[in-house]
This record gives sequence, structure tokens and C-alpha cells, in this order.
Amino acid sequence: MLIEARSLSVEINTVPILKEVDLAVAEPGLLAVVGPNGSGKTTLLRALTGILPSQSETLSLCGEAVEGAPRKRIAALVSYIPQIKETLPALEVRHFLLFSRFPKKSFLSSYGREDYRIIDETAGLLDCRELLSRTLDTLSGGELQRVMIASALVQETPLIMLDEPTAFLDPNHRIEIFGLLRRIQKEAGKTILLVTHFIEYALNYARRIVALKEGRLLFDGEPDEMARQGVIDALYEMHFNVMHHDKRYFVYPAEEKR
Amino acid sequence: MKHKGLLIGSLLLLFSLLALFALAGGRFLSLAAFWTPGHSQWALLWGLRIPRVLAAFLVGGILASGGLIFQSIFKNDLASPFTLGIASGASCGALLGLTIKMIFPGATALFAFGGALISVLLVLAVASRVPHGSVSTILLAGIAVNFFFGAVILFLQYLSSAGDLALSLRWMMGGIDIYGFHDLLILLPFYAGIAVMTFLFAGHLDILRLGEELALGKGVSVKKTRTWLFIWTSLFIAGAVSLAGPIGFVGIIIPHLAKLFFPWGHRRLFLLSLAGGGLFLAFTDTLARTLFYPAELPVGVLTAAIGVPFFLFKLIKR
Repeated sequence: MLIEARSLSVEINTVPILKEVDLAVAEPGLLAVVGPNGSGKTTLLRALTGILPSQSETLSLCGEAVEGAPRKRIAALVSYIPQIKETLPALEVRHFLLFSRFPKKSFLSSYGREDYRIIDETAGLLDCRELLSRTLDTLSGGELQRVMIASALVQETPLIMLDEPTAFLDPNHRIEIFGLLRRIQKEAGKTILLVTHFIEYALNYARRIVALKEGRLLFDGEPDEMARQGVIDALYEMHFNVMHHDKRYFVYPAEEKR
Repeated sequence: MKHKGLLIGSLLLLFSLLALFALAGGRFLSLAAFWTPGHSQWALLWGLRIPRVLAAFLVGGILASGGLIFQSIFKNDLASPFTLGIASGASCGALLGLTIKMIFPGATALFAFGGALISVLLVLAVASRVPHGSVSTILLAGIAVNFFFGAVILFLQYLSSAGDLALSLRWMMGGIDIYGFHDLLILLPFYAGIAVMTFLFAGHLDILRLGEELALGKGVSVKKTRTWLFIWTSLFIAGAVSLAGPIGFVGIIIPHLAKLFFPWGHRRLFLLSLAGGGLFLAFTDTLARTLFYPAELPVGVLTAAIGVPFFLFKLIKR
């Protein structure tokens, strides 16, 4: 089992944020976690990666228990890309990508030729070689997300978890990033779990969707199923029109907010 | 090959500068005194000047690399042994030793070390009781402890006799009052400790500068790394401060200067801080012995005099 969480709960300052969520992922694929603000999406990712302390009957990644595992071991299984809210330093992209090789290093070893080769190869795969000599603080939102995805690939983990990778991107770059994630999922056989507010993109790009509401699991299934069952209406407590045209979903609100 | 040449060249330059500082500093000594045991200046050079220059080099290196570690683990350019209460804890301990008339050899240094340890324990005790404490919790606790010890220092000075007050003021100005190689041997484990620790944790420190969430994602156990580095760095700094007093600004200026040359890469930054901090303090100590020769300025006065303008410049440029 790639991801297994049974009865996963998280409390922050005695406030329950995540309530007995079950999630089992057996096959690689692109999974989207959706839900309204405050539904526990980011908390789910942080709990799954062991960043937040949680209670559960089972919590494991690639068959290894998360609780008590050293951070380096977890980072060898899952590459976690948080939402970048603060200004990043003037660090060269190539150097930043090198840090993704940290889980593979012992205390005494340093970065070497093999690490640079992997970075160069990944940059080529993502078509972002020209960004390697730029510094993080000079990148646009789209370029930064491309670099973050590259950093997840350089980390060489079977699992990748991203928190709202397209939060501040225009539609053009949003399509580019979702397309890129779907491509690397297929080509590299990764399991990608991403949190997003863009329900339409989740329906069109993900193989499976997990919907959270008020910390509980509301839905876990295929996009077609979600679109048919009126889950989106229940999730956001308003009526949406969901159209399927030319193999693509289009979602738009059918009414003003109740 | 190129790196080897650079390393040998740097080491040669380093030793030449240290030798120059030993010969200068007050009255300029003859170069022959280095290798002529019967020379009239042999005892002065080997008994006083060389141990003092080497001690200044070690203390400067510890303070600068300690400052570098603090700045990285707290993601704060202004974090230093001073802002975190270690220097004031040491000063408080030293003053207590002077006030209660502890006059056995090394008493002041021992009390200073004890004071620094208490300040570290206080900071950790406060920080550990704050649920979901962030990076700023230790920093704030350090600043609070700094003010607390500042108040205790004033109280002890208020109670002191005129003689003790003069002694305490002199101690708080900082100084490399080292005679012979004995104190150097005390400093060496602290120097070696901070060197080994930074070398081992350089990768962690690089990633910590990116922020907590990204560091966790890259496999750095942020809280554990931060706490242990804080404890050990504080101990090594306490060792230096207990012998040389609270010498200001070395812990802030030198890491910033090093970052001007190498913005990233803690192994290089650390080597530069270690060498740069050592040379800066050895140089200012030489200046302190020379400017008003035969009188001697407390080195802390000079480091601050050179440090403040630089510090303000950095503050404006931020």
C-alpha cells in the first residue's frame, strides 16, 4: 500500500481539524484533495507526511509507519511541497534543487557529480534548464512551481504531495502545471497527491478525488462519479452546473450563494 | 589542484598575519625572536604575545561561527550570543563571582560559564513550555533572559564596592587577558567542538534557511536540529565568553561579511567565519594593545567601535 491512513484525526490547540479520515492508495496516480476553506486539506497532507502529530489506527507510507520514523526516512518516501507563502531567498535554483538530495546523504557525505547529473536531467525533463542559474527570488509564480515540481522529482521519492501548487497562478500557468503533473505522473510512475481549490481541474486531471468537509471525508472516488453524484453541491453548499463536453468537465455556479 | 593551492595559500596568509599580529601590538618585536631561544624578546613573544594572538583567534572564530549558526537556525540576521542572553548570563555569573569574592584561579571564568549555562537552561525551559512554539519563541525567550540578566548585573553592580565595580566593568568590556598556553588548552575543546558540529550540520543549516515547512519536506528534523544546535552552540560560546568576556559584534559582523562572499553553503561560510572571526579579533586585539601603548584598550571597546557603523550600514541596506 502506497498510502494507508485509518481513522486519522488531528487536533490543533484542542480543536479537532481532521476527524477519523480513512485513505488508502494502492496504485500510482494523480489524486486531488478538494474541499472548502478550513476543511482540513492542508492538515491531511501535513499529517500524512508526519509534519503534524496525529492520532490514527494506521498511518503508513509505502508500508512504513510514519509515527516515530526519522524525518530523513519520511523524506526518502515522500516529497512534500508546501504552499510557498513567504519570500524565498536569493538562492540559485541549481543549489536549491541540490537540497532535495539531502535525504540521500549521510552526515559526512557531500553533494557530488551524480546529484548534479540528476538535477540537469530533471531540468531537461521539465524544460526548465534556463532557470537553473536564476535565483529563487527572481522567479515568477509559474516558474517557481515548475522549480518546486523539479525539486520533488530530484528527491526521487515514490510519493509526491503538493499543497495548492496553482494557488496564485493565472489560467495559462494553471493548465501548464496540471498538465505537467499529469505527464510526470505517467512517465515517472509517481503517486501524486495535490491539494487544490480548482474543482474543474481536479475533475479533468485527477484519476481520483478525495473531498473533505469540516474535517471529515465526504467523498473518495473517480471524477465521473463525483460529477454525477452532486458531491460538489454538498461540498460547497450551493448549486453548481457540471457540464461534460469534448471529454472535459466545466463547472460553474448555477446560483448566487445561499 | 587549484583548491589545494588556494588552501595552502590561505593557510600561509593566515599564519603570516597571526605572526605579524604577535610581533606588532605595542612595541614591535624582532622577527628573530621566533626562532632564537636565547633572544631577549623570546620569552615575551612565546610566553605572552603568541598565546594571546592565538587565544584571540580561537575566541573570534567561536563567536563568529556561533553567530552564523544562530542566524541560520533562527532565520534572523540579528541573532547573536548577545541577543540570546548568553553573554549577559556569563557576565552575570562573572560579576557574582567577583561580588562574593571568589578568588581561586579561574573562578571568574568558571562563574561566567555557569551563568551562561543558566541563561541557556532558562531560555530552553521557557521555550519548551510554549505549546506549538515557533522559531521566534526561543529568540523571544533569549531576549527576555538577556534583559533579566541585564537587571541582575545592574543590581550586583549597585551592591559592589568601588574596587569590585571597576573590576566588573573591566570584565564586561571584554579582553583577551591570556598568559601562557594554559588558557589556550581550555579554549581548544570549545573551538574543536563548534568546528566539528558545524561541519556535520552544514547541510541541515543550509536547508533550515529556506524555512520550516520546506526544511521538513527535505528531511530536516527542524525542532530537534534547532534545539540541539542551540544548546551546543551556546555551550561553545559560553566557553569563549567565560575566558574573554562579552566581546560584542564579532558574532554579527563576521557572518554577514562571510555571506557577502558566499551567500550559501554553510561549510564554506563556516570556514570563512571561523578564519575571519579569528583574524578580526586578533587584529582588533593587536590594535587595542597598540593604539595607546603602553596603555591597553579593552578589545570589546574596539570591536564595538568598528562593529556599530558596519551594523548600522547593514541595517539600512536590508
